[in-house]
Amino acid sequence: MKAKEAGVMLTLRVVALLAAYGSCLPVISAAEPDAQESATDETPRGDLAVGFGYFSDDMLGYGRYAGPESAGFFPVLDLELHQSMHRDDAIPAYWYLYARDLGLHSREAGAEWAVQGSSRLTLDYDETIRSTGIGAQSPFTGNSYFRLPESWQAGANTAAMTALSDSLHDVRLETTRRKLALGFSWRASEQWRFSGEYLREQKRGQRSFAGVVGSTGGNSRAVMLPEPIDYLTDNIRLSAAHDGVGVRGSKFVPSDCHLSA
Amino acid sequence: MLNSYTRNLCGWLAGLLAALNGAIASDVLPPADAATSRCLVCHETQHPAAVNGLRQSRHAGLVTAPAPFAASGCTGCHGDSEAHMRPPATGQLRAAADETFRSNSLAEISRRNDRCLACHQSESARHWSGSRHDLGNVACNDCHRIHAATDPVMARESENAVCFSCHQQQRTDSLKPYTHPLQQGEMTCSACHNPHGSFNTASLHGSQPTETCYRCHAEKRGPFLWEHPPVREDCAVCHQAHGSVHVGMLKQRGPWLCQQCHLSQYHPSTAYSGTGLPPTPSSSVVGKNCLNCHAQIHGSNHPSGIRQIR
Repeated sequence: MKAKEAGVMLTLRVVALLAAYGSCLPVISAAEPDAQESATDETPRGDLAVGFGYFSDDMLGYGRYAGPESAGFFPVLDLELHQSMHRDDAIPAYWYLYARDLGLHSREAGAEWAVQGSSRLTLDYDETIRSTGIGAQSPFTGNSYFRLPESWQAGANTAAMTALSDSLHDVRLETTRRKLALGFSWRASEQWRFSGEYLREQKRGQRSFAGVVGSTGGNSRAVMLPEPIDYLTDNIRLSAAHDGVGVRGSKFVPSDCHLSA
Repeated sequence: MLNSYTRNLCGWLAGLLAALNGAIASDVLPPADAATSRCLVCHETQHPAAVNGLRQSRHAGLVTAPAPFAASGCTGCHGDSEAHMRPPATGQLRAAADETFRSNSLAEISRRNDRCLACHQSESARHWSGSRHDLGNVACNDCHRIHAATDPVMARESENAVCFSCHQQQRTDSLKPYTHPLQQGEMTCSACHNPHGSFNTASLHGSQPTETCYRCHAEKRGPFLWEHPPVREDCAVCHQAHGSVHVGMLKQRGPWLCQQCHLSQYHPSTAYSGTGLPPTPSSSVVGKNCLNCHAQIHGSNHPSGIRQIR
């Protein structure tokens, strides 16, 4: 793998971020509230941000955790919406919806429903990209299984690897995490509380690692290689608390991905 | 006829005004119950932002006893404040409320916190007593904003800024080239730390230093056939979690980080020098330096992986 010359190298750092938060309007906002209404107003309220941004050039720094954002326009889409509800027995409840940065590669969304002081349910999704921003090339091909091409000519150095130049292709050194979390909490009585969370996280992508291809006089010769990443982690946490008892479990499953010659 | 630039500018201004109007309009929410009406006679006009902020907050939704706001409105937190309610004598200032949440004496801070803990002790603040923030005389409202529709420290996009207002060293680290995505808003301080206290050092969530890291970095957890002891002991032996100028948030650049522990024969018993740089590079110095060979540095399950080389 050798460094790509220009690629996503940052040349001009001028960002014309034309965030068009023109429609930060109160969504579904009904008529202006009656000043004599009590706090039991149940009108859903929130904000919706729709617009666009513009990058005048490739944004390596911005894209490190936001995605490989290149020059040009990108959408802006955020949402927050909530509603308080007061049921007949007057126990207040609410629900809450949110979505942030839906126009970028790193984004999140979720929902929450709760009876205040009693129980709560949550659902969250989060996607985060981590890009090294390094333009790279490699002869290895494949998705989960990286292999050298069939026409590969082995050699003690790159000069002897006659098929190297023809087999090089672009490699994106970036990983993406996707998390899905479900949670609950329940206050069963003044003393007892129960809560739990299930979290599934997937991490996929490629990163670089080094491999030794030979040694001369005890001084090893190493090359940088792309390594496929494909992890899946399940986390479960349950707790029953009178004054603090809980159990927690976690299962990590690396997929059968590898690199071989 | 307006040209396109003017039309666009007018459009943007109209959108901005609409947004502002929406924000202001949404502040005009119905008043809280009658218990607060006496306070609102003055504060409705004197502190409209604080009043409207509270009305949109979660506390305002607590309309059922025994929630203090439901039972007695403003006085639930601020006290009965009888002296404050009475008109001041001529030439004198009105007496302050019983609890203003502004005093700075240590005893006052403790009393302020007791107001909050009366309801919140059994929930997120279970470990507050004796926590770092408790012992540091931090008041709940040093971080939390009650009179706001959204408490900044409870919102993902603004939480870190609240923490960084005191923790300047961590803020500085977070601005270094290699760091967790704190500045990008993709991660919050509370992902690792419990500001209300925990059993762990630095108020970390996990019961052991490494356990907090394993939550996201489960591939480093093992168990491994051949372990690298610091991975089991404390990730912070090698890594600087808040940010570093070295790749991988390492505390020191390799191979010198490794040589702080590993100085052995053939792997020279003296620190590497600049002699291993190009045009005659040493594989121990360039590229991934020590990790050129010891690629599985966090642990190996290969039968021959005792040196973490495969």
